Amino acid sequence: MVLACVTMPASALADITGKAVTVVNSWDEEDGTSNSSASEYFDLRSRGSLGLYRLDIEASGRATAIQNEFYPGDDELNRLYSLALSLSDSEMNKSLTLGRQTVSPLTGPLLLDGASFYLTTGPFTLNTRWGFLANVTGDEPDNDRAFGIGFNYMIKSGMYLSMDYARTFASGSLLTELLAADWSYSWHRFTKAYFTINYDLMSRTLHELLLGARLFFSDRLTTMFQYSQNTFQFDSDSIYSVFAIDPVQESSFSLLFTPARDVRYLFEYAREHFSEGAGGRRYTMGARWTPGNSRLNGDLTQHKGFGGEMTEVSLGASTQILPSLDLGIGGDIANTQNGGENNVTSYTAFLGSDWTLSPRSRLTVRLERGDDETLANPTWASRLSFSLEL
Amino acid sequence: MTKLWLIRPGQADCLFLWSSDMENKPWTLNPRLLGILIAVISAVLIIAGMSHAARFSHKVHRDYEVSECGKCHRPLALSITPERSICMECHTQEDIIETVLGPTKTHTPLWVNQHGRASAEPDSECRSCHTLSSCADCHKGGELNPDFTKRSVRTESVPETHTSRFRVIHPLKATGAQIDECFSCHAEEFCSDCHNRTQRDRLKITSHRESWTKIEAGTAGPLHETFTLSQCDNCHPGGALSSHVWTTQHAEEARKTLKKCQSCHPDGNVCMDCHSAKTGLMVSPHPRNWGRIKTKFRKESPETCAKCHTVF
Repeated sequence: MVLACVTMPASALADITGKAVTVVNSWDEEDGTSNSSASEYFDLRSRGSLGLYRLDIEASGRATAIQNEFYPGDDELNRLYSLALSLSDSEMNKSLTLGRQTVSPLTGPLLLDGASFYLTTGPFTLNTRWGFLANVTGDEPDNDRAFGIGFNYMIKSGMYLSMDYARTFASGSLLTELLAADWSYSWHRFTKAYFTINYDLMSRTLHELLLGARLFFSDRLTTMFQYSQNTFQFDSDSIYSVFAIDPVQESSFSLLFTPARDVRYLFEYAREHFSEGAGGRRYTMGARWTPGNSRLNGDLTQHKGFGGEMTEVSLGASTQILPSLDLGIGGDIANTQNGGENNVTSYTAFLGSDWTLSPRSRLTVRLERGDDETLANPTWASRLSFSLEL
Repeated sequence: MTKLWLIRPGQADCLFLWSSDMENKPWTLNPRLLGILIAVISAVLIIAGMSHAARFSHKVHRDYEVSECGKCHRPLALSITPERSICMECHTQEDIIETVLGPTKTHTPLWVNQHGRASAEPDSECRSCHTLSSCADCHKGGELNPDFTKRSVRTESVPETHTSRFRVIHPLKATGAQIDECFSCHAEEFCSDCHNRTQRDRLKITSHRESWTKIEAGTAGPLHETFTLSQCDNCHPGGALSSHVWTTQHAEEARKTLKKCQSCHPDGNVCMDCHSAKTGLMVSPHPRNWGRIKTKFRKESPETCAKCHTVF
């Protein structure tokens, strides 16, 4: 792929854009030792032409060096997220993508070393993909393969139906086999209803079910009702794939109220329950005010149920003190009871700044002080990042 | 069959919105039926509501040389959806009424729950503004857009478990099916990598705090950890277990958060001490529908069956 990119004619790489971000982190461990890391993120995109076809090349990745006093010898993985080449016709009705790419079919997203193809005819789009599951862990590659085919169909304006069938294989064995369908309908700007199902054909269980509706009463008031059911899905070569599993169900309601351009309130309530009766609930109340070039926000979240209980309050404020310089301050405090532990109260407080050096470059700094149940003493952490757009 | 319209009030309360008993007491509202009725009407309205509106297209706008994003998407706007007054700089009121915006709703403050599906829709225009690496910024751990506040009213894109109070909130988020969200980006070993480093005894899940190995056999007998697997059947013929806290807790936890088990026990060998058909207690771990699915497992993944069964 790299060789192909290098040997291309100039017209194929006509328009190159991108972004590079340098991030330096440092953080203390509970015994007082310090760690630091430096990372370089990059994101490149080229758009050009190859004969009658449009050619896009996209690449993104990260390289990290880590100095770890606490665990000498640890090495953070360097990772290439994607490097893919796409050939499309001028109308973008046909598109072939080769290389490492993220595909997002209904049956679940994959990072794939392979090929994907889209063909659009009127309201109908066919998509298919084949390749090896990308290995970004640095371990010996498994050479697991994936294949999938699906379609999207616009039944009428605002109403869509999608289906997808996907399989993954490993050395002759079928690892997963999924069939998914999705339907959604947006009725003008007033409401949207949606239904998604993802069925595991290996274990014949409902892997995912999502049913919901959103009502947009006006630009100022939005509500959402949603029900979901989820059952874990394992590759068939795992012993866990033959174990009994309880599905978990969640019903939620949320309401977003925007009384003015600079004020926003959110309320969300969710109930989670398992088939054997255990469950939990969670509610969140939040507000955000953005007067002028400043911003204030506050949240209250409570979780209670299977696995623990937690009440958390977080507050934050930021303001623009110069046209190119923002300052921020914030923090949170949380009280946790988890699995029979005693009450634990933890906090985090931070200071930050964001300096726009030029229209294409930006420098941010964050200094944080935190204390929680896993640490014997409060610790410091900091992050500095510099981003540059090409 | 009785015609529903012939049933008098009181004969079948559950069927009628308004009902009374046979003694002609005041009619009462049947909440169950009211709920069903509202749901049906809503469904009919949603499904049957015909819309012949045109769909907004960035492509069409570009064809008409409206190529500058900022012409419609104004700086500091609260929503990515331009206000109608901006549209009306070029369009008439009728144009606007007859046009639906569709996937732009993914940019409401609730977009986190919606953008995944919308990006797969046939006229998805995500790529008009976003590159593939935009996904990787959040879904693969990159930090391309550091911000002061990682979360406020859930409008930021970073999962809440990745906020500064990660250590507080992630045990709760990692309980239940939400742990699937973690594994969409992290390998199963991610959890154990950390938990093996820091105070691992305090981080054990509930059932592991009082493991069966520390339970006395019988009354005041030796601890279970002193026995070998081949001795299980001496006291537990046929896998019979006396009921105690650990037995109940670990089964319940496993059925709810089996992915969490996999995090520390990737190959599941520890489960087979009791759940293999070859040795130990031989307690079947299979789901209720095993009879219907086992043939497929035998055919497609015989190595998995062979882990616990000699003959299958």
